[in-house]
Amino acid sequence: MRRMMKIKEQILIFGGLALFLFVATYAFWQEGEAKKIRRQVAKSAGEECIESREYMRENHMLVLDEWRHSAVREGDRIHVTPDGREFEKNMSTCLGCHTGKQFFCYNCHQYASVKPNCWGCHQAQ
Amino acid sequence: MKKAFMPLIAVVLLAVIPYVAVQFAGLGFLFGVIIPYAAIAVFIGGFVYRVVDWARSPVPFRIPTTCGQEKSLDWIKQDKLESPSNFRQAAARVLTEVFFFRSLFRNTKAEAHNGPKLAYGSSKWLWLAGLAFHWSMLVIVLRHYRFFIAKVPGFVQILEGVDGFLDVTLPAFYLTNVIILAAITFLVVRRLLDAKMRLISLPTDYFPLFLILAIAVVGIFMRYITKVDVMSVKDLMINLVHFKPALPEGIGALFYVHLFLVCVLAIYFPFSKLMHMGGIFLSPTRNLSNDSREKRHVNPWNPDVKTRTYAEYEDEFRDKMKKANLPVERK
Repeated sequence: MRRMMKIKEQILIFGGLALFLFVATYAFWQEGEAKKIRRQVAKSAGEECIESREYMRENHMLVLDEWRHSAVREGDRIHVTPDGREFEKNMSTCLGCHTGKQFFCYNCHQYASVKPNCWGCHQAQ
Repeated sequence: MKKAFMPLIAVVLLAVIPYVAVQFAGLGFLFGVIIPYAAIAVFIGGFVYRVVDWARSPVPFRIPTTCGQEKSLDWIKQDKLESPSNFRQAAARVLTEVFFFRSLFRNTKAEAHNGPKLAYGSSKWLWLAGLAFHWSMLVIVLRHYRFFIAKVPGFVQILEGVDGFLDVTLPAFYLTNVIILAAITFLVVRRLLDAKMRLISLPTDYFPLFLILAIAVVGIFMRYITKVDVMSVKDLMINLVHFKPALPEGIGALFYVHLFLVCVLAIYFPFSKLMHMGGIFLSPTRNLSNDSREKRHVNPWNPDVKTRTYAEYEDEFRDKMKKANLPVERK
């Protein structure tokens, strides 16, 4: 009887421990590689973006947000870069150079599990 | 106050180390690869060690702390959760404690009023803040799986959707970010404001609070204010979990602060009060059923003591007892 209790206890404890180990090491068992998924981003056809690559990587969503606000609410549809070049505040301006929403937006956004709400209103091309 | 300041200074120092080392000394590989591997190894190894150590500790008797009517006669109503009498009830007691912190719900507060008047009142704030903190922490940890798994699993996406359902700010604002900050702030302030709490609080109480607070603040900074290149961060993490360590270029030093503090937390975890994560399940005062009056629990390592019953005594001396007219049980 006593031995049975002991075994039951051990099953519970080590079962719980196994569950912990499974959750703690869950990521280690998953498939998938880092580079292959995202680096097929279509190369840009234009010459130079409105800001540096590093800046755009980290802040493109803020640029788009600012564009939406100033263009739609204030009617200011022209973006002037620090070095004086002018761009129309329009999603097509981005996609004109970075062709193909499929690769340009989706690959990274899917990889990072970030869902932009652009395409809730804008038509996908 | 020293008890609170020392951990605070320790956390600040721990945050500065990786910043300086990565920004100025170029030690990205140490802080991005070597220390994280060491941390996960210590965390898992230490956790398993502690649980196995507890599992091997003998618990010969039933020692539950109860606060309800134990199982008695049929017409006396048993309090099945507060005084469980079988495995199922004891398991329900442990699980409700784990998920809802029932013992904290009983928290009371003593206050001395003017004159010799001592008042006790119910105080649910600790329960509320504790619950808010732990649940937020769980959601945040699970949300971070998006950085470790190439194809982000569905449950993470569901959590992100629920957590960010307000759909304000860019990047999407997560409720748990604010809840965890508010809850930790309360848990720190609670220890600092009340003299009785200050007296019983130790550096080991403050340190994890400050550490988790720092991790959360740096994380929130990276998400909403200073920004890091999430792609490179995820590349680094995916490389780590597939044991192909490679350090991508251009991750901000702030990320290494976040990562290093998490590593410190992971290494500190198994050897500290934070082990209550495993300990809550293994507390004999909580996970045993209160059945001492139903079943006999014999200490398994009791020595085999040679005993002699009265019947044996009488057998030996029966004739003499009869001659001396002493009463005997068997003729």
